[in-house]
Amino acid sequence: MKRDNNGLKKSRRYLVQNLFLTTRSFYSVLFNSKMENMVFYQKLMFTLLWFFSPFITIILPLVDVISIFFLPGLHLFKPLFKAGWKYALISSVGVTLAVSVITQYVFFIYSYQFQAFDLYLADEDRRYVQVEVDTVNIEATYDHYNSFLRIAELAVDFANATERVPQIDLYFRRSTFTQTFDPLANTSILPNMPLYGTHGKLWTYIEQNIDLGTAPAPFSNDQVIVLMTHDFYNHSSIDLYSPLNLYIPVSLDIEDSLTDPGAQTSVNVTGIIFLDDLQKYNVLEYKYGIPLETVLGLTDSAAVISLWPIAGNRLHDISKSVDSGDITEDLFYDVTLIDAFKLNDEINTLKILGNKLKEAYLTYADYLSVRITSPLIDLIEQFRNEYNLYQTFMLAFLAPIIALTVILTIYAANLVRKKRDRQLTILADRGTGRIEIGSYLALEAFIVGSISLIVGVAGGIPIASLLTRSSGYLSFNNTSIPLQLQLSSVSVAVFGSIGAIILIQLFNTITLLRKRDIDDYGKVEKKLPTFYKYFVDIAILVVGAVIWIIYKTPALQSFRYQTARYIGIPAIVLTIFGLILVAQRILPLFAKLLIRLSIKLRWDIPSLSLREIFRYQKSYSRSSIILCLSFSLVVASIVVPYTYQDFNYEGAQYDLGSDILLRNFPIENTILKETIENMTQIEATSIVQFVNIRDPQGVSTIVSVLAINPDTFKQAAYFRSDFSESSLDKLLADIAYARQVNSTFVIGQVDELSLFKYDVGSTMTMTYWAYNESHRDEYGSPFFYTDVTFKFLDTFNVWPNFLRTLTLDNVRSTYFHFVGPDNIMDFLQYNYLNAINYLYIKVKEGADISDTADQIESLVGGGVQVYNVEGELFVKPDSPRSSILYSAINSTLLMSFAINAIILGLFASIQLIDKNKELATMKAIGISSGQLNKYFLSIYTTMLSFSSLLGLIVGFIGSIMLMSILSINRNVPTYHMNFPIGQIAIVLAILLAASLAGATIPTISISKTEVGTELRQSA
Amino acid sequence: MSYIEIRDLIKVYQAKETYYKVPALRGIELEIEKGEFISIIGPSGSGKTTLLLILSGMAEPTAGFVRIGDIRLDQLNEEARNIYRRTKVGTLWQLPNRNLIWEINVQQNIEIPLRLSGLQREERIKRANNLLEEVGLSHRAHHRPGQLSGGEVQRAGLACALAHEPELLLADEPTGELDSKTSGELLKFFRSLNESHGITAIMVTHDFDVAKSTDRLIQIVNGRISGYAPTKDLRTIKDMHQVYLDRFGSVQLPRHIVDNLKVQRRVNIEHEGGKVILSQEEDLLPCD
Repeated sequence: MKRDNNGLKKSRRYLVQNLFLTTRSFYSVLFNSKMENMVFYQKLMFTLLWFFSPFITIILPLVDVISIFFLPGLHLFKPLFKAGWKYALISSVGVTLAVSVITQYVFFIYSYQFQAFDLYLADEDRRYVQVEVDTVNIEATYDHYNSFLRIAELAVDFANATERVPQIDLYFRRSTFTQTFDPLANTSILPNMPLYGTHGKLWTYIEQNIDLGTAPAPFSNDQVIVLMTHDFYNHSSIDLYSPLNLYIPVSLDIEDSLTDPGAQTSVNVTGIIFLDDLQKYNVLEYKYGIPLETVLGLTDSAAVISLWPIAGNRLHDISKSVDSGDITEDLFYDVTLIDAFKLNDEINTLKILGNKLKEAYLTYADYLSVRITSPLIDLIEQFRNEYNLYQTFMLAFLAPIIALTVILTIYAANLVRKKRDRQLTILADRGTGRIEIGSYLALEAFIVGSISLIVGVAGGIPIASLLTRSSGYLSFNNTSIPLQLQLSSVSVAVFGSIGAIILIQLFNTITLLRKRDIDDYGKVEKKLPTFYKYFVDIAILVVGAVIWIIYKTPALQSFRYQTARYIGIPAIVLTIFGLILVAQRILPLFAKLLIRLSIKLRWDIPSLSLREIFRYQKSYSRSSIILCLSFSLVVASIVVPYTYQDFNYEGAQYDLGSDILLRNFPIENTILKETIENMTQIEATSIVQFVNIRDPQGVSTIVSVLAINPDTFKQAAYFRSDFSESSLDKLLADIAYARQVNSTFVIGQVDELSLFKYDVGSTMTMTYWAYNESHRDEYGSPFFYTDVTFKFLDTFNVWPNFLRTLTLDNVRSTYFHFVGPDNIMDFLQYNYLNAINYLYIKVKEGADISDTADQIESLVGGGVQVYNVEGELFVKPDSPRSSILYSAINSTLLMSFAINAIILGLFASIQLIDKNKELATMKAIGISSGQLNKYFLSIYTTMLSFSSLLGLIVGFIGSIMLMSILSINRNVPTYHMNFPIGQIAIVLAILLAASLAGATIPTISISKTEVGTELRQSA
Repeated sequence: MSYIEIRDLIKVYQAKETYYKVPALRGIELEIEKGEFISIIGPSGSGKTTLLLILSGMAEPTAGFVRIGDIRLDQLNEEARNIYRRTKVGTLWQLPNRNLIWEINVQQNIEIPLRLSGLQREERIKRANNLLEEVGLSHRAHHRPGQLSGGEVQRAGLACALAHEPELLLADEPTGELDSKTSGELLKFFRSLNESHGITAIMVTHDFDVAKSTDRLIQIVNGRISGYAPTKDLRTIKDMHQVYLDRFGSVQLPRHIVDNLKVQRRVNIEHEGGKVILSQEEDLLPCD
């Protein structure tokens, strides 16, 4: 035999010898070959090699780097892969699972971000930048229209936003009113009817949507289109081809205009558009249009619109208007171009656009009173906040699931390690070095990782899709979101997965590479894993708790939005993990207890089998960690959404103060109030008024006063017992007392009062900026300073509808929130326009709040805003955006199911393979298959009961921690945890059954094998 | 100069998770000539396998001098020990799954050491076939170890151990799991290898009869060599025999003593003046 005795020395120097092997070989071929000796095709190949050598030079070092890792073990690949492919496959299944989990979560998050932004914008109409220029001298020519348009176009050009702003609409508006007869009320009315002039696409849209009549003739002088609601049409005598007078107000008494010839003009109605039936204005061919009322900023029920010159001429006809109107330009923003992942960049672009617009109006037209409003900035910022919360929510579930999957995979690899160890020990025996084994394992890891990556990512997509679809059956609603694949989401999934693969494979390879001990097999693991010796579990718990304390530090309270994800969530994960680890210390004691119990009860098989848990603490505690984590996730994924939904509902009620709230309610309209009260769904109503009085001098003081009716408040309003130390009855009795004795006796917010050392019974005098119209004649201004003294009868912690909580961030203003009797409003001197009148409405039990709110809305007409709690929910149950969130939670639930079943199945399989000989011996001495099943099932049942019990406790603790992170977006002070015991019990029962099934299948299959074969095979 | 020279060899194991140190070898002194066929006997826990592990380069000596040919084993690092194992020594263990990888066939198992030696495919196959023929397993080349009989498995293991043509063959109770006929055949094969290839062979065994088939017998008790004897004259060994008495009172007697005693199963035991006398319990019927 020709033997290469230097083979080993070669192995020792592999790294050096193979360094840049491919690069060296390539250049040696390139430089040492002689062209004259070559045939044609060789010459051609050689020329091509030279030609592509710059590109090849870039690739070759990469090949070299890979070679350094893989070459030393390449010669072992064939026999070892043949011998170990089954174990590699198990590892591959685990890694694939991990990759799938990561992929599907990434797609969830991306789907959410891409689609939720789209869905968010669909709910919002203000997808434009608006320029308002007040008091412009309107010229009745198209040139004037075009010159104004040009200014905006130039600004857009300067801001490099031409692509973002493909459409600009421009119109002028002058506030006018008309006189008409209301045939239903049989009275003459003076409704607002502003005059609009426009041109371009907006005008084309108006022309195309005329319901009655035709568009004005282009060169007419007085023809207009009337925009109105059907309701307005019924309540007025305005009709097609009827003349219509428009007036501008010239004095405080509006009726003076009717007799002033300089305050009016006459128009002829050639067309009518009903606003109720009008299709949304959709200039950009985006999925969702914008209502015309929003585009025109129309808050009244009717308006008059015509071509720019016609409307301009009508304006000129009103001599007292001095030809002035307000010009508005709507710069429609192409929201489809917004990258949901670059929202900050978009906000900057919008800000730059705003500045350029302002500059342009100042430079080219000398307009000083230009207001640039970018509702889009607010929209994007609001979305960013909402998105942050959702991301936190998802991350809270994603982090443990990924951790769980990675641990599971490592654990699975650990279980097969014994088998690999045996093979590798034989190799070591034959003189294989660790570099060679390591290199082979790296190659195997590379192959397993690559296959898992492809299969996992490919598998993750349908899993994610399936889970989103299945969410309809499990979630609060039936909306399913089609999965959206983006290049960026796929790349994040791939890179995330590669990270996980490297982590898993590195761990596996290092474990297999350790120095081998000859007689390391079959040792009893009568101790918990080694890290328990060093109190790693306690350290993790302590670190988690400390980070949590830091997160909760009052000093960091104002940074909660930023710290929630990066401090809060890691703290929760560490604490939960720490708790689970620490709790494993009880497992051996738990097993011992059960052994004693089964001995007492004379359960022979369990008393024997449960000793395994005590004997093999290392393996069992590892399984238990994964099971506990999985169970606690299941519990959290049920408790958190339920609690959050309750909290969300209470938060909305807290913000509103009642089931339905009418803002700007005409409190003098008792007929309307009675009509509402007489509706069958209404239980009670109560009028509440709100006003801010302020002292703008020095450190300004602002007192918000909520004036309530103590007789009706309780029946209509929302109040929780923990909002005040005193009962609501006591507080209302105080206010009733104040109503009789002194209307400035109030109850105040406790933290604000204590800050300034005000106690119950003490008084506070403040000077405020008062308003009284009667002062105008006497002093030339209705504004003046006056004093008011409040006496505090009691305190509350928080009061619904008062949104502001005490903060010391902005010390320029001092805020106080007082609740007083309704007659306090008679005492305070304030501008009536600054007061807000509410009608609180309580809906009867079982009645549909949204439907009732819609009915009330149709009763009250424009000007009164109707809000209901369901509309105010932060996460609306029927919103497609929420559906994505709940899908993510449901997928966590399903994943936990799968992981539980897999872990026990895997554990059972490996354990049984490992115990083949033992099992065969047991069968040989006459233990029946049934008894064998009993033997193993009693172990798994014990494991599952321990881990489910622990998971339940840890899940509750985790839910409580998680809720305190998720509740940061609401001002509601506290929330009550909702533990739906029934649901948890059902889900846990299913989970236990699934896990047990996972364990039973291999147990049954092993109990069916033949004794002889078993004993022989396991030699 | 002898081929193997061992002076004052000490090996101490650190028991895992405790602070106890367990001395396995307590100063072995030994010289073995090239081409010798040696057997090492001794009770369980006496240090036989530890000595074999050190000679095979699988374990490091704690102290002492170990030379094999011109190689100082006590001075080798891990890398050098790998080279030594690949080139100089072949090992055969008692448990078949310590010799062969169960998941691949016999030929592939034999090819592993040849791959490590850097042989090309054709050479590997040729060499493997030769070895299989030599051990009488040509017809079993493509069978997995699980499909072979006990004797065949050990012969396949031997083929693996000899694949790279070692100078030294170490066997740890190779006949322990075999019946007397099969073990006789294996020993015969050992002897023929020893004679035809001039391989130095060291075999650890419990079985006195097996030990008798070697040139020389070395007895180890409690980590020390307690006796040498050429197998032609075993009187010195017999006289010096020591056994280990554990704290539960168990004693494992050497097989030849048990055979000579002619007692079976339940025996009567008497303690008389520092001596223990065993005799057959006659009242009981033999229970076979």
